[in-house]
Amino acid sequence: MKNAYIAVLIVCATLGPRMFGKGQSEKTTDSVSFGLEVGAKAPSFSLKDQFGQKQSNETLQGTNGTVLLFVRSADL
Amino acid sequence: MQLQNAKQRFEAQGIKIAAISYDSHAILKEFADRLKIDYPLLSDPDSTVIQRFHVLNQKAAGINKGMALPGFFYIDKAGVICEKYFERSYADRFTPNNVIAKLFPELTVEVTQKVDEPHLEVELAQSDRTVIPGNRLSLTVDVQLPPDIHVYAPGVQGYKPIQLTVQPSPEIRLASSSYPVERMLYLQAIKEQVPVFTGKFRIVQDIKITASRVMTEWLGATGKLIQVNAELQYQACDKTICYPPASVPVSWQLQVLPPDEERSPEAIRHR
Repeated sequence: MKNAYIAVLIVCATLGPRMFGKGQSEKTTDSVSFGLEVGAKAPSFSLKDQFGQKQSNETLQGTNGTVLLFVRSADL
Repeated sequence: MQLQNAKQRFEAQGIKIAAISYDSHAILKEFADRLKIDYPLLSDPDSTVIQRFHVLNQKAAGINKGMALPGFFYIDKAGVICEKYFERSYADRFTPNNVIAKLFPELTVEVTQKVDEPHLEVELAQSDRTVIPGNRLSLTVDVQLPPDIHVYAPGVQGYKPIQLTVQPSPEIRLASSSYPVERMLYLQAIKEQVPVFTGKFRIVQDIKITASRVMTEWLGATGKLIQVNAELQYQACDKTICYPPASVPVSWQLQVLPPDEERSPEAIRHR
């Protein structure tokens, strides 16, 4: 399992964004235990957006990837 | 709303963005119309996708049942989760600009102050200038040392390590800090290896803006400008001389806006 995790990290690191910050080491961490782990394959999804369009892993695939924000509610 | 403002910065890096919530399509449409949001707001009314990503708020009950824990995933183009940014408390969240700053440190931020000291140059920057309660943002200190100078890294024995100490204040709380990986330097005089930093390096301190009723009242209708003060302590040495420990005052300014508390029309709210 540990080996798989390292292998995936290397894959991520070669793709761009992660490369720059990795000279840094977190001296104090406040990582959280919830949410799928880094290194895991993102689950597939297909959901309707505000315009009524279906959006999925494929439609949201940028040349450098996707940032998915989970929010509590648009109606607090 | 903050993500709408940061959208172009993500797109410039080839990253597409979307937000997922348990809200109905009607709530999201009304919200997007009202705030002019054009990046995808995805409706996951039965929380299926929220559960697939393991971010269901298990404690949420009543009309909140099904809600996600707020935070970001960065998924690379191979579909692998490469980073995640979540806070323990639901009231706290990373700003989109802080996520950009963490994914692309070289485009962190706006430089806000430069300080020239005898043995080092300091450039201050921040991921965000405008924030709301609960936001987690980063403050950065870029240090440039002359070629023959080193400073000591945290963990050194017998010397004063470089350290950024933020003054406590009720408006902020400290989150993680990050220092570079140190380099071991052999000191002939004491015949020992010591951990040091040389050249150009960055210290990052994340802070969170307090979210509380008192804070909201204090911010009023228009918000407040706050200043975060800190001390950068260090001891600079070259091959032959160690200079006395020094301390540089540094500060960042933040415009804190009141939280947006407008709700959806009664008819389409969660029940």
